[in-house]
Amino acid sequence: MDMQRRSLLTGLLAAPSMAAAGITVDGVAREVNREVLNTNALGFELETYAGVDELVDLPAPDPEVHLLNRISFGVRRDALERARLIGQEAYIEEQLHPELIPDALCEAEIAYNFTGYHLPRRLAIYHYGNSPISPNHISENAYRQTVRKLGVDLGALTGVDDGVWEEINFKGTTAGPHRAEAQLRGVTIYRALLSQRQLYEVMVEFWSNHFSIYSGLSKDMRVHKMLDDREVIRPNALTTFRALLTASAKSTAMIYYLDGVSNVDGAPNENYAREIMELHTLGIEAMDAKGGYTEEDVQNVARCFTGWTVDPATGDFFFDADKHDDGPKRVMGHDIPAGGGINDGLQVIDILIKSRFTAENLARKLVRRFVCDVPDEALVAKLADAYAGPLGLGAVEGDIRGMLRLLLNSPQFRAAKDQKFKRPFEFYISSLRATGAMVFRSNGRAMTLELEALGQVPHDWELPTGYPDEIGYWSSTAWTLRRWVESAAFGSGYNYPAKVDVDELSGSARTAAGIVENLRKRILHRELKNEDRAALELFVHGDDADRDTELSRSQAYAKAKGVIGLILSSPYFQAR
Amino acid sequence: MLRRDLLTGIGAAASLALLTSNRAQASTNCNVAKATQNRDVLIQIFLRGGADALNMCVPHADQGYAQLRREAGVFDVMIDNPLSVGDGYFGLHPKFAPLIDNGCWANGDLAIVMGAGDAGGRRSHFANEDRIEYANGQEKATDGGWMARYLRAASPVVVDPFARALALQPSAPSALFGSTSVVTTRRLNDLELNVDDPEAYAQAIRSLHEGADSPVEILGARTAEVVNDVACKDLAGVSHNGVRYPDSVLGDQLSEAAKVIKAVPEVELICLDYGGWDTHGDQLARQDALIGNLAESLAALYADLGAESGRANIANVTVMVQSEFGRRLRGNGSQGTDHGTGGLMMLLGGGVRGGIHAQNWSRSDGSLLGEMAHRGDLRVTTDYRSVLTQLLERRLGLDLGAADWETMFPRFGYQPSTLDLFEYRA
Repeated sequence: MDMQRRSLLTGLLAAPSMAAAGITVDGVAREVNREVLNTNALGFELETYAGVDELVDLPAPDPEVHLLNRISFGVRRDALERARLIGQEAYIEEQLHPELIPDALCEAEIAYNFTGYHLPRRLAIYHYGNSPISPNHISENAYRQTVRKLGVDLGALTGVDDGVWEEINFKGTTAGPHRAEAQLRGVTIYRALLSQRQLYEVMVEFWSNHFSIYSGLSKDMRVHKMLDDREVIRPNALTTFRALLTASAKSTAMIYYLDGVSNVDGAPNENYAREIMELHTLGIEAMDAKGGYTEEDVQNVARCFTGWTVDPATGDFFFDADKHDDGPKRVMGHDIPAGGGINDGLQVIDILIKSRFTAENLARKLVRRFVCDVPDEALVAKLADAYAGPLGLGAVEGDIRGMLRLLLNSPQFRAAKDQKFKRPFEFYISSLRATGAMVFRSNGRAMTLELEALGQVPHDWELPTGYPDEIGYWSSTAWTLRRWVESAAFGSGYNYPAKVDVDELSGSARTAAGIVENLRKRILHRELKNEDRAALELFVHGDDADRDTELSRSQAYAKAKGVIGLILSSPYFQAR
Repeated sequence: MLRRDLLTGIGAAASLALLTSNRAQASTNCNVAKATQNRDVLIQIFLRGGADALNMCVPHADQGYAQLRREAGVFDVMIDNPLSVGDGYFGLHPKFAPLIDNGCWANGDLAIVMGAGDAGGRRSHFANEDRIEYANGQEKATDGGWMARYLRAASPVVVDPFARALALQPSAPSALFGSTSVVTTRRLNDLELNVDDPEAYAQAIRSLHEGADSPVEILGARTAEVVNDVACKDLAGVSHNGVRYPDSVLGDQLSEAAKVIKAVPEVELICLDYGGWDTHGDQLARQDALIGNLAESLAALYADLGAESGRANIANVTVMVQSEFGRRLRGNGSQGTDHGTGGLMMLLGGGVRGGIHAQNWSRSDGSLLGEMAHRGDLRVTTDYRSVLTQLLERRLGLDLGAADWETMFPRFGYQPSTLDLFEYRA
């Protein structure tokens, strides 16, 4: 295909609405334009790509299992059936448009369990923040009066009224301010577990990590982090990087976290300036590099953002012109004239967004997330091109969806089976999804403790870097053992916050071969090596002489529980 | 790629013994390990976030200090608190009192190296932590971390050890990156697999990780092996000689470190992180708490190991405290300081030559505004690798030729500090 046609098609595919290409989500009509998709108009030659390194030496999973390993929090049987039914490309396209995927069941669970998460902004700040009159200590009438004064219409909050008043079902710790944290954590866990919009949830996690905010430092920050999730990350997770970065720069949680409040004229605080360049946009590779940034730029960017603060009266973002350094500045070779006010910061954002370093830094990070730990620089360069957006007319906005489309359809992605190690959160959620475990409401605390023991609680990373995304960090004896312990508890059914239907998974089989095969099919969805199958069967029958003996119902049940634990502990389940 | 190679190395040692959760039963099959090398155990405490050295070991005799810190309305430990001991020019932060009161300072067992750091370093936490810990003059690992290289260069103190390095935290620090003999865990005895039907279960776990050389399988095999070996190391009964460690994460970590030093001779290096030093705001109060906890925890360790005899005595242990960088000379607008360059290192142990060591430090009045300043930061006057070199030579038995030192510290080579920081081990 010639270049011109290819870029034309690329533009078509990246058009805002894929409904135009015939993809709908009513479960029936799926007139995917196969021709467009199959011509692989995404800029790739159809060459095969020699993969990097598998992290396990095992029979590879099917392409659909591989796809779900990467674009969801673990294979669930219904998702696998769907991906197989409509095919990989169509499934990717469907997942790239979460707004078209019905998700009523998940959202109903969220609405029921996490009323506090849905409180209007000001009420949430009042309710969860460091307010001297917590609703816990005043009468319901006094509370309602205060709420009215805040201008919040409680009547508009369908079904929330009581939930606000009572302790929230998803219990965190008892103190008020902690509950915002518990609400957000619970919502994150439930959506990862239940949402049909899995790629969207994966990207929400990606950006939460990219714009990592640790909220444990102050009471007010916990509620502001919850609001950041609602107002900054979720609305922009699949839009443009410009929208995301601009929202993040005005995020009250980010301002609190990286000392924006104390970044004032005459005494700048460089914390945010450094991280917006090093972590959020350009990357450390750009430091002191040609066309990159220097220490002087960090100091000038700090000056540009002076006065970007939080209004203490409302808890909203506020540009305080009195605290802003209005002198002239120079950032990465661009003059920022005196008297620019809030535009200084906006101009910095514009400069950062348009830098090729930013495109490459984000591309590299996406490749590391979705493909493998050591990114292929050719793919990084292609993604960085896609960052410029479908029109390529210099209106650089950071086309997240376009980058993902290119990435997920690349030969590098397809060849990268088993090249990522599940991080603890992925391990935990995928084990719940794989076994179809029932999660008990009101046991959020127990779940948090398990995630903590495994090494990764959502939003709990203290540094602005976000959780590491390379196996090296997670290769820990203690954490590996913890996975085995959790898995064993899982299969045993005494894992407190979740329960597994062992009989359904094992098909109530009574022989070693039957138990192992049913669990393989229903949990692993991939082939076992002969010696591994033999090891699991040996665990069930105990002796080759008894290999075909039918076990009693209770024996079979106990052994099936054990095999579930072993499967979840095995290398087959640690790679994705 | 590198990580894979490094992980693969673990497999060589893997010969799986019985994996069991029954510690008592296992102990009957345990051999008592014996150290064959005469060298210190090293505990590294990394102050994550960039500790402000100038507020820990305060150059209060310099008028520049007052100007940079007090006039900015920032903080000044001299105003509210009388200073503890020092040498007239420097004074220790008053929260170091526990190390003064217990005789550690007077015994010459605590040294502070002022102006320590990496002159070529960055002001980014993440880049500079790696740079300091890889100790190769870069932010990228080319040959693992410096501790991993040390372990490769020095023979183990116990033949066939189950672990030579222990990270008392969930994940190993970059200094140990690339080592094939690291165990990471907050407590050694947490490494226990409690399941129904333990024999058959353990057998199956072992089989599922057997015979492959991929990173995940090796990690599992290594874990199974460590769990088995740890079953022989029961630390529950190890005494603290009546010493109470502070009720803090650091206190817990050092208490565990002391137990390991007493009961597990295989472990040569112990690493732990102490976070929270990134004091962009409210520095005075935050450092009070941070330094207080550090001093109390170190004082407890000093007393505990001081009461031991033999290899676990403090005479045979060196504690090294460092951070990724120091902070800016001038305070910022939030009663804090931003990222700088030069900082400090603390050394504690029987083999340490105590006192404040400030090499090439101009004590002329106002020098903090002049000669000691570099781009608004404290100038690095002692390269931290020169301190490591002396530590390795004098306390950790490393005797290398020039070419091997170049491998040990690429782009630096053999440049031992001219400071006299450690006694030679007998």
